[in-house]
Amino acid sequence: MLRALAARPSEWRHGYDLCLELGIKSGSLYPILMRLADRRLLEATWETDHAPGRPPRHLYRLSPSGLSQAAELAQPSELSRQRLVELRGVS
Amino acid sequence: MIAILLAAFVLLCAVVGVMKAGRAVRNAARVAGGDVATTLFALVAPALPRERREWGQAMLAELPHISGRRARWGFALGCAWVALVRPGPQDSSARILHGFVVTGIAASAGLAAYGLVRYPGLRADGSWSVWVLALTVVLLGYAAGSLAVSRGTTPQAVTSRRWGLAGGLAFFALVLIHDISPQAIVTAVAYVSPLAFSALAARSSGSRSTGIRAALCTALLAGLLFSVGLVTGTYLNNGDPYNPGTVLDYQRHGTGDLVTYAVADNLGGAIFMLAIVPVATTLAGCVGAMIGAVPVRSPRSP
Repeated sequence: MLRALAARPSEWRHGYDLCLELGIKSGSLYPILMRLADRRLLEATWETDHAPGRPPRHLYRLSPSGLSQAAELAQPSELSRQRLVELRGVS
Repeated sequence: MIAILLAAFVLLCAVVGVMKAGRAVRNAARVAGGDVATTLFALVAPALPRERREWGQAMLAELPHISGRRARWGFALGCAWVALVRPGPQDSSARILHGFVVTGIAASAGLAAYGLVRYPGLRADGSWSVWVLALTVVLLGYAAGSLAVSRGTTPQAVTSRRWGLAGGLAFFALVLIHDISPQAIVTAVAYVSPLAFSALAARSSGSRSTGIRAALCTALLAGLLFSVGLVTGTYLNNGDPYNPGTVLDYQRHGTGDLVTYAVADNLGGAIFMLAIVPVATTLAGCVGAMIGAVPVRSPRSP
């Protein structure tokens, strides 16, 4: 989820589009989004220019702390790199 | 007399419930623009705790943008699952309440199964399956009630659960005391305790709905603890002491042995109590909530 949102960090995303992109069901997506928002890793806002006759949709993108978390996860830390080297040595 | 009053209360609740449900369905269908999947989710979205309501609106707003009935149904059912079943953030009061109810449900089901094995005479006719069905329905009601009241982390929700837990445990303690020393005053205090605890919940939060929620928590605990206690006592004593009415009924209509007849009688009573104790305690708790929410007038300064 973090990776998908971090891929286009400035872009606001819709819930259903994230479901389709990640191949997960809404019953899994929304609890994840809620937890990310609770931890202030996600920003959410309502659409301002929405199609007439349809309700405005909720939009999501990573917050600055969410982006730094995603970047941290994307780059293996020195510790995990060392662990990887150790494991390779064992095998 | 009490039975008639309770039956009238249940009937009144059923009528009010049906009217409210009808109104809710009409409102949801209007919001959903006639789409059935959206209507379904619009109906269950209010089950989300208050601090999650905006998420319910977000899910609801996605549905008109999903093309294809199957995709819309899939999305709506997933969202309904989140609204109804996913517990969301829980504090210790919610976890304790949920733990009590889950244990109580498991104990009730386990005791029923044990009874059917220990007293084979209970399975002599087909009526036992009807009782098992009734017990299942009632226990499902408890599970749904627990899911409903253990949600939310607002100060009101937490207050209601704390007072509700205290009320349920106080009720059970008083019932136990009554069992050891049967006195009318203890029974009276036991039945007044849900009223008192709901009033305290409403008073401490200044909100009637907190008191009513506390009453529901008390009701869940009181019903389960009372019923589990009754069934355990029945098994420990093989249905003894047999009251004269049971013996007379057994002599007139009973089949099999007196022990099985008395145990069956008590088990039927326990299922009835499992359904009726929450109604009685909720009724008392609602009265307490109304009393507790009445603002206290400060004395006028001279």
